Amino acid sequence: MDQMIGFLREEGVSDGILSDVEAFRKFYKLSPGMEKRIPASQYNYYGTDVWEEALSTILAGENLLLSGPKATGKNVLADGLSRAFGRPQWDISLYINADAASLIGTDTFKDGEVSLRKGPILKCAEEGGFGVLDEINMAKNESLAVLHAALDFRRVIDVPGYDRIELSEATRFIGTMNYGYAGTRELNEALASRFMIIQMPVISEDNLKRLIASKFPELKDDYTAQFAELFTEIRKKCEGGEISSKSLDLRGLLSAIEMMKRGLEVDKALSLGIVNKCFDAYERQLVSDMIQVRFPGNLDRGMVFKA
Amino acid sequence: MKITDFEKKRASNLIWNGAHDYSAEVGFRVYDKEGKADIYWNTIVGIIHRRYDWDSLMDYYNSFDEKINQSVYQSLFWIGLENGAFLKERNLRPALSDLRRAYASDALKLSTGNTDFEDSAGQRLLAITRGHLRRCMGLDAALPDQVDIKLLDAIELPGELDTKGSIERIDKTLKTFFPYTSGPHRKTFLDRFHLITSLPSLFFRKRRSAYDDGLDHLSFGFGEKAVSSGKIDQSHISVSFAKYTAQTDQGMKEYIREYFGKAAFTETETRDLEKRYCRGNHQDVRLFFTRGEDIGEPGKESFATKMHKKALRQAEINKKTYKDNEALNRIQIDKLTERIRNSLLVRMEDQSIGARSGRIRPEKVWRAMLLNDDRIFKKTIPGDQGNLSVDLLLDGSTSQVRRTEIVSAQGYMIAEALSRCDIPVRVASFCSISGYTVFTIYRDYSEKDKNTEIFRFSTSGANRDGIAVRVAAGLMSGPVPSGLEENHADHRILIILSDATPNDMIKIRTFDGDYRNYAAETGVKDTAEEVHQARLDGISVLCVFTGEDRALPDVRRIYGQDFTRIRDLNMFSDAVGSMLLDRIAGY
Repeated sequence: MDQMIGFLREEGVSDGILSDVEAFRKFYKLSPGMEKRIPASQYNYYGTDVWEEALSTILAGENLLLSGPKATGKNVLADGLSRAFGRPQWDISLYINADAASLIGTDTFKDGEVSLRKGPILKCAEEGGFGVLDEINMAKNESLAVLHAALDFRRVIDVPGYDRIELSEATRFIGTMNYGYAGTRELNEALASRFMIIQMPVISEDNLKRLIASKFPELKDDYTAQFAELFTEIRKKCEGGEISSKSLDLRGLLSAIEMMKRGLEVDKALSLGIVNKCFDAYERQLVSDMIQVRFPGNLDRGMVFKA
Repeated sequence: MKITDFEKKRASNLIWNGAHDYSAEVGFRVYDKEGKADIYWNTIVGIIHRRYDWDSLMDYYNSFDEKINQSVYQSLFWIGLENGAFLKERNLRPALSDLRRAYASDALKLSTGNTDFEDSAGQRLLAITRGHLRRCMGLDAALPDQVDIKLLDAIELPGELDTKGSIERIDKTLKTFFPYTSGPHRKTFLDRFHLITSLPSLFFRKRRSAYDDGLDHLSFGFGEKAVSSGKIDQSHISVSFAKYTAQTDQGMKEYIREYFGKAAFTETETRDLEKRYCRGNHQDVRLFFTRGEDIGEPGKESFATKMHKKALRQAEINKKTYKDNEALNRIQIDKLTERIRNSLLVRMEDQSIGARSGRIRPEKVWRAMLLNDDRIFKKTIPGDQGNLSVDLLLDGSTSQVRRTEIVSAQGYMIAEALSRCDIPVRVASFCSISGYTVFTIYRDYSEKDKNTEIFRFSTSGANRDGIAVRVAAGLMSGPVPSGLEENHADHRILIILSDATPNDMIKIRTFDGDYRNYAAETGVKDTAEEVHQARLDGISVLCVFTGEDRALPDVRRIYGQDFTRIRDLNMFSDAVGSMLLDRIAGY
């Protein structure tokens, strides 16, 4: 976890904020058995401004909503925040039929009696965890209304038939949303006003290079740059409205590099990770053209990775 | 050779990709001998866009026009720039060297045996080009003549030169090795009408007219001219056109208003919609939306009011025809309603199942105590909450004139059946007249009592199906003007009653400044693209086909499998019902 603080310091996050984060961690102790809920490091989020904004929001006791298009690192940042503050995390994927029972809890039968089976929100509230409300705008606003009291200054959850539960002081909720994504809806004002909102910027090419390099240190520098530039080109093509955002898939790109590392040819790996994400033959052709003008056909593992 | 639209799009995409700029004007595109976009050359064109000042280059390039040896100068110009752009970019794109080698090897094969350049300058160009291609492949230029080697060295631009330096160097080289003088050829009156920029013309065949595919046959592939930016002074045309438009526009709008009724949206709203939808193939089209109310001044006699009276008479006929078969029609509506209600709405109801958690069912508690069966709770799986909307779009062009009564009756029956199931329906018809595509809106989503308005349906003008689909789909998913209701449904269906023969007098502007008729192949292709786009936007587009047998291949091209043909009105409810349900089953 100190690694995380070290990383943030390297990123240039101000010392004032970092010392507050450390104080937060010292003050709020974890319940036993909760360590495993702190997300492990997969990727780091790169972007000093966003880090500072997000850390300050959490320190100020506010909930955070990360809004941004595909591949802007919303969940990577959310994981990073739980890690930085050393809090257990509950991932709550919202969907159109999410309702109060699935979020807060519902009756169940245990040891001969009916009891409350706690939902993720409730557990998170009790343990002082960070609840990540993934794709928050997929859910209907009505079903999220049960969270209003938990998200604002009252910080309570009233479970019908049971108790009124106060949120632990360390509890925060982090929403993520992709505005205008298929199947999403408008977030109503009542809900939006309970969050501090960060509009997630598109990852810069430099940061993308650092991300790829940190994940694959064995990659040659010029190829790290090539992959980052390919991704930027795909993004430009999406923004230009020439293709859909299906192939704009950072996860796919990283997985493709992983497969190259394991010996798959570069163009095949990129087909699997990126090109084939488009199901439209036209789009596939446009994306594979982009790869063809950037990566030579005979490229093999040895040319891309350091010996 | 025919270049498909997709290969054109692909070539443009390669250029934009190389240029890192999706707003760049393409300039020209290059194809290989099979009509496929040439990966290397189009990328190089894109790189030239980015690395040099394209407009200055084109200004210089155009100065070759009408000169003796024009095609030789043009060819050398492109050889030079290709070299410069390649050197500037090669370190940034590992694939570029490979692509270049592959291109050079192909082009070298293509150039062997080329007998098109018989004069001395042409022969020299051939030699230089081959030398250049060999160098591209990493070989020696193999030029016997020392002077040719010097020319090749001079024309292969180094990567360090900027636009100005490159032009100066080409200019100097041409002066040294050819009887060349700088500056434009003296323009003649005819040049004003020379709308198209000349193209790179390595190995131009002498008799270009021998090819009727509109392409320039080059050593490395086939070049396609695109309209150049700012090269041709067309301002005088646009000024006079604007005047003409201003004069006639008001009159035309008045005419449309008298014909179809007062505008449903404000001028600003309509202008916004035009800005949003009248693009690409439909850039010269205007839009008009009406609810068919408040037609002209009473007593005023004009062609438009006469036509309107005719439309009113048609409405009576529509109603009467429907009434004459009312018993039959009502049965069809009832059947359709039942079908939709039974299959569709059942899916949308909540389902409750036994579960280990949820809402307790007291009558089952004993089972947990005595039988150890924990499933004493009720869990509700919510159904789809009827979040479905249907837009009905009627083709109101003259080609439907013999079917006016049928189309209005079919439209009414679908709308009525859906209304009875509480599914929001919007019904509109469209036709194109004098450059305007007119939408008559009969009812909006919540106006359940207005289904009979559909009997006002009448036909006139042409039908530009592409823009109709584009606008209808746009109003279903995008912002709407104040006069319309927004569509918030999860599942949106657009049903088009059409004869699948798009046709309009406003032509399509092609990339090279030409015009193509909006009819037959072109119209079908455009409509198919719009339907495809609407589907990408998550709208289910269905067609109730009302046309003749010969249009069947077209309706398949436009709508794929999602159409139904009504041969007999008795089968109407079955046909439309199963098409709708098939679609909804996918949700």
